[in-house]
Formats: sequence, C-alpha cells, structure tokens
Amino acid sequence: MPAPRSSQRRLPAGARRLGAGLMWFAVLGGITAWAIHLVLAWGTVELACTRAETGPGGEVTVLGMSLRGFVAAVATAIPLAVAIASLIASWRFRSRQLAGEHRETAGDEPRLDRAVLMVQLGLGLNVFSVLMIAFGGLAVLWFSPCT
Amino acid sequence: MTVKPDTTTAASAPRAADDAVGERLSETWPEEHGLWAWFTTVDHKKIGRRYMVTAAAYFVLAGVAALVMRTQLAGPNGDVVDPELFDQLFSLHGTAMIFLFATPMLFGFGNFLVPLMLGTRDMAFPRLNAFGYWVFAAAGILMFGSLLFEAAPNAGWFAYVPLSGSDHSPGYNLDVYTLGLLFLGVSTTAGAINFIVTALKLRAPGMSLNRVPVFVWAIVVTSFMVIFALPPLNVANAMLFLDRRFGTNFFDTAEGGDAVLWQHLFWLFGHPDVYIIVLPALGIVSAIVPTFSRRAIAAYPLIVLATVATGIISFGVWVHHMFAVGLPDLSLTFFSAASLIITVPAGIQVFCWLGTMLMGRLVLNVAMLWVLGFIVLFVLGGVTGVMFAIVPFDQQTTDSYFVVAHFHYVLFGGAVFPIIAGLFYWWPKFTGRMTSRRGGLWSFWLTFAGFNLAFFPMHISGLLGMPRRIYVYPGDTGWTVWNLLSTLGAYLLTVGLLVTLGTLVHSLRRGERATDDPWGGETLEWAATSPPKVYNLPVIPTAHSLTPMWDERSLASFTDGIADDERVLAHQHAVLRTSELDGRLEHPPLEMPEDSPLPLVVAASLFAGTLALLLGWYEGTLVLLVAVAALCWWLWPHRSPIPEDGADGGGGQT
Repeated sequence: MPAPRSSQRRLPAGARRLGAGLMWFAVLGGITAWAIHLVLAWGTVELACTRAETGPGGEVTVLGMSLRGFVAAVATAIPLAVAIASLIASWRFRSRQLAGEHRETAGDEPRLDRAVLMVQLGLGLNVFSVLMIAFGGLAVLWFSPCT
Repeated sequence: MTVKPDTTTAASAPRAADDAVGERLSETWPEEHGLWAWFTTVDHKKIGRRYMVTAAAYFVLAGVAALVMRTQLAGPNGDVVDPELFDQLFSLHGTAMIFLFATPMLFGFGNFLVPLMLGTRDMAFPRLNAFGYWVFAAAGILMFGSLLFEAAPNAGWFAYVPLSGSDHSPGYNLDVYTLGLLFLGVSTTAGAINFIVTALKLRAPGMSLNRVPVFVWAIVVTSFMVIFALPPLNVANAMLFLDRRFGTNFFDTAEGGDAVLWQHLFWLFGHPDVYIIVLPALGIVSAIVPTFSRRAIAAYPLIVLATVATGIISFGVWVHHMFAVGLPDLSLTFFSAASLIITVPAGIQVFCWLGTMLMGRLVLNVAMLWVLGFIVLFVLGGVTGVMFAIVPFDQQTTDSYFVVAHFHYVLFGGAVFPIIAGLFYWWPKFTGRMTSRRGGLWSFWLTFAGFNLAFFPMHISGLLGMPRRIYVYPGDTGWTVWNLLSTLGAYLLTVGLLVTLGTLVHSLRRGERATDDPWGGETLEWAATSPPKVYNLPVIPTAHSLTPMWDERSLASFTDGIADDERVLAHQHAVLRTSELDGRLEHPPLEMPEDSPLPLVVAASLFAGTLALLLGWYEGTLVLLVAVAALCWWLWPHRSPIPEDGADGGGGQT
C-alpha cells in the first residue's frame, strides 16, 4: 500500500474523525434529510387529517401549530436546511479539498480516488434531495391540507 | 480514457498462472461428481446456473399462463377458460414473473458472476447460498403446484384486501400466496445478505469502491433494497394470513382494521421491487456496453450515483401506486415529487451508455443488439412512467391496460431484454461454448417485433378504457382489433423466445468451444477459464483500475502472484479478506466450508413446515424442529479458526 500523505500523517486523531464524520454527512446528510421530510410531512398530514383536531379558526392543528405551518416549518424547512448544508459540504469537499489533491495523485492513491467517488455520490444525492424537499415545500404552499 | 488494448496479454497472463498453480489448487478445491455432490454442492457457479435454469423454467410456466390469457382475449366474449381459472392465471402470471423469475434469475447472474468479478473464490456464505436456492426452488413448486388443485393465488399479484380476505376469497388460494411469499422471502433475504457481505469483504486487493464493476454495484444496491423492502411485505403477508386463518382483524375496517394499510405495506415493498428487478438488469447492460464499445464506461461516478440514488429514492415513491385511493392531495404531492425526480437517475444511465458507445468503437454483436433493443423499450416504458408520476393522468388511467402496457415495457423491456443480452454475453463463460450468431439475430428480431406487437396496442386499448384483469369483453367497445393485435404479438413473441431457447440449447450441444476471453472483456470474470474451474482464478490478482483485464499492472499481478502463497492459497480452502472501502488486504484468510447436505435438509424441513401450516395440520409444523437441529449442527464450530499468521486450519461453517 502507498504510504500516507504527509498532510494526513500530521492530522491528530480527533481531526481525522471529524473529517470522516463531515464526509459522511456530505455523502448521506441530504438523502437522510429527505427521508425524514417525507416520513414526517406525509405522516403528519395523514394522521392530522384523520384525527381532524381543529384550532380556534377551524383549522387542523398539530402541537398547537396549524397543520400547514407545522409541515412547512418543521417537516420541510428544517430538512431542507440540512440538505442544503450537506450539499454545500459535498461541494466544498469536491472542489477544494479532494479535487486539488486528486489532480496531483490521480490513479496512484486508491483511498483518495475512493473518497472522491463518495463525495461525487454525495453531491448528486444532495442535489436530488434538495429538489425533492423543495418540490414538497411548494406543494405545502399550494395545496390545502386534508382535501 | 481507458480503452481496450489490442494485445492478447489479457488472456495469456491468467492462463499462464493457471498452468503454474492450477494442479495444486485442484486438490484443495476438488471438482465433485455424482448425485450426492449434486445435492450437496455449495459452489457459487453451480448454484448460480441452477438459479438461472430454475427461474427460466418458471418463466416458461408463467409465460404459458400469459398465452392462455391472450388466447382468451383475442376476440370478444372468449370462452377458452372460465373466470375462476382466468383469475388464477393472471395472479400466478404476475406473482411468478416478479417473484419466481425476475429476481431469482438476476440473483443467478449475481451468484455466478459476483465472486468472479471481485476476484474471489466463492460467496461469503456458500452454504447459505445453497440453502437460498433450495428454498426458492421449493417456493416455486408450491406456487405452481397449487394450480393443479385449483388453489393458485387468485386476487392479482398485489392481492388487495378486502378481496383477498377470507370472506371474498375462501379456499387455500390466498394462503398459498401469503405463505408462499413468506417462505420465498427467506431465500431472497439470505441471498441479499450474502451478496452484501461478499462485495464488502471479499474483493480482490486494491479494488477500492471506485474500482468495483457497475454490475456489482447494482447487485449490492439491490441487495440493500431487498433487506429494507421485504419486511413490509412479510409483515403484510403474515397479517393477512392471520386475518384469514385465525380471525384477526388487521385489514377489516368493520372491526377497526385498515384496508388501506395493506396497500401501503404492499407498495412500500412493491415499488422498490420494480427497481430490485431493473437495477441488476441495468448492471448487465453496464457490463456489456463497455466491452462492445471498446472503452471503459463513460462517467462511471454518475452511473454509480444513478444506481445508488435509484435504490434510495425508490423507497419514497410507493404512494404513486395509490393516487386513486383518495388520500389527501398534499400527501400525494410529496410522492409525486420523488416520482418525478427518480426518472433522472434512469436518464443518467441511458446517457452514460449512449456516451460510451459514441466515444468508443461499437461492435454490433448479438448481445449488443439485445442491449440496443432494451434501450429503446426502456426509454418508451420510462416515458409512460413519467406520465404516471403526474397525479391527474394517473387517476385517469389507473387499472387500465395502459398500465399493463407501461409495466411490460419497463419489466420485460427493462429486465428480460438485458437478461437475454447477458445470457448471450456470458454464455461462453457459463458453458464454455459459443452461440450461433444467426440464431441470435433471428431470436432478437422475432422477440423485438413480437414484444412491440403484443404490448404497444395495450396503450391504445387502455386509453380506450379497457380495464385490467377482465376475462371477457363485449364486441362493441372498440377494443377488439387492439386485443387481436396483442394476441398475435404474444404468439410472435413466443416464437422469438423459442428461437432464443433453441439457439442456446444448440450451443450446448454443438457450439464452438469458447476461449477464456472471447469478447475482450474488461472485468475479472474473463480471467477465468471458460467455464471457470472450481477455484475460479488461479491467483488472486491486485486490481489497479476499474478495467483490470485492460490494465497491464493488474494483469501482471497474475504472474507476479504465482510465487506468492498468500495470493495462490493452494494449501487452504480459503479466500482473501479485504477492507470494506479501500480493498486493503486483511488477515487471516477466511476458511470456506466444504459441500454439505445441511442446506437442503433445512430448506426441505422449512418447506414441510410451510405445507403443514398451509393445510392447517398444525402438529405437522413440529417438522420445523428438524430445521432447528440442522441449523445447530450447521452453525456449530467444528474446527478452530485459522491462526493470525494464516497457517493451515479450519473455521466457520457458514
């Protein structure tokens, strides 16, 4: 196996773990956020509409919030923010850290090539995730719940 | 850009290694013959071939059911079969094609090819592999055998409640469905676990994730999908069986149950299952296109992304099968969004293949012709798939023949065409024989024409309002001519498939002997002899690139490894282990189990227990104790593990 790069040798264990954690977030953060958005938004709408717990204005409510407000804020905006953060992380990994080093060592260091592949996967998954959550968010603004 | 070299080094280096060490390896990996060996083998290649042959037999049976149905529907008021039998035929046709043909056939390809492509000598759990095959074969016998007793499933392949409840469907029919699928699920789950562990732990040294063949990526993603998708189906089937047999009320709305729950559970499995079928087939295409374009696959990271993204997003689209159920509009839009986005990865794959062909040097042989036919049909099926993601269109065409046309383009065009392409491509490796080009051309064009004649008119009959699953229709509906065309097409399609079968059988008997690498393939299965020996590769190579057979350094590792005991492993019935992400060598090697009757014994006793449960002979389920005892014997640590220094020893009996 090729010797580790000098920059990798210098990194303390905590920083390496943080780096690995950040990379996994860049790869899987967006798609996980989308999964949470889907289950939470769909599940909340289905359950709230079935229970039909109404607030003072006759609007269906969840935890004291209007159903539309809950789905928009909790089930959509937060996952969207996480997905965008993951997208930015993967973009930065791709463009700054990995791509720069990759150009120097392409083909010689399997570990680095593998990391580039993973970040590329993450980038694509994050783009899909942001789009799906955003489309769902538009629907929240457009449709009345429970119709 | 990696292109295929014009030298013959690719074939000669592994052959030289085989000449040097093959004899020693044959002692630790002996070729067994006879009836006992037939029942006890755990060789992944034999099991893979059995999967394919058995799945093909079930394909023929399910296809005959389709032909009878098309004959019935050739004209108005057909009287070939009665409605009860028709119900069983369409239910069995769908159930068998999905569960007993498509997935097992592709698992058969995976079984044969994945260890070879990864450069290892067997699946991670060879006995589990054999067990999975026996369970699959028995589940098929149960399903098709039930037709002889007029007890085949008869409520469609998705068995909606309340139709499938005991009030509306008395008899054993739906019990065969629920128990049969539960039983089969054991096999599919075991196979999926085996693929995942094999691909993560047994890759050749150097084969980091970015050097894994696309076909293996497809099999691994599919296996993860199976792990997550099957539990909802198993839960649903268990609950339906309890409702029917023991009077529980999971799906009985009058008693506080929920009929829509069945649909959610079923489609939470059912839509990912479409991709469980299609993804490995797309993996086959991704293996064939580079070989016959004479260059590595274009945009490898994108095609891997497409595979992974499809696998994940497919779990968020199931409600598009339920757009007409009456769920809140807002709920539907979340799934509509995902259903639209999931078409993008499929499009990416198509453009990757087209890009590879465009930038390469296309060789138009029979396998490639089937691939091109697949691309045409899959794109057509994809276009109508996008239409179904649009809620208003879906609600207009739900349960019509338009849907039947769509999913046959996706599943037959998207899976059967690549499967046949894969058969023509890997046939020399499977059997050691070449196929006739003329027979292959005839088989393709007849099948392609017959397929389109059979299924394209269904778009029109569907748009004219013809519902699915009807056994007769009146003559004044305007559907007659389209149905007649579909029936003629079905017969032409049958002729095409028979020519395909004939071409393959002819090859077995009179085909020219195949060389080790007749097409100049890029992946490691082409380093093995045709057909491969029991030990697969004489030396475990080092993968220096995505295309090891086109890469001098990877090829050199075959000859360099001859003198390295660690790469030959001639003194051990063992395989090398490597790390999950980077393919770094780990110690010690993993001891592989010998042939054993235990997988067959466990599968047989499970089958007997399932039959006893089906027939309501509950004392008979005690036969499952045999399975428990056999499992204990199977898992008992008979020998000590290989010591850390890699010296001789025994180990796991997985």
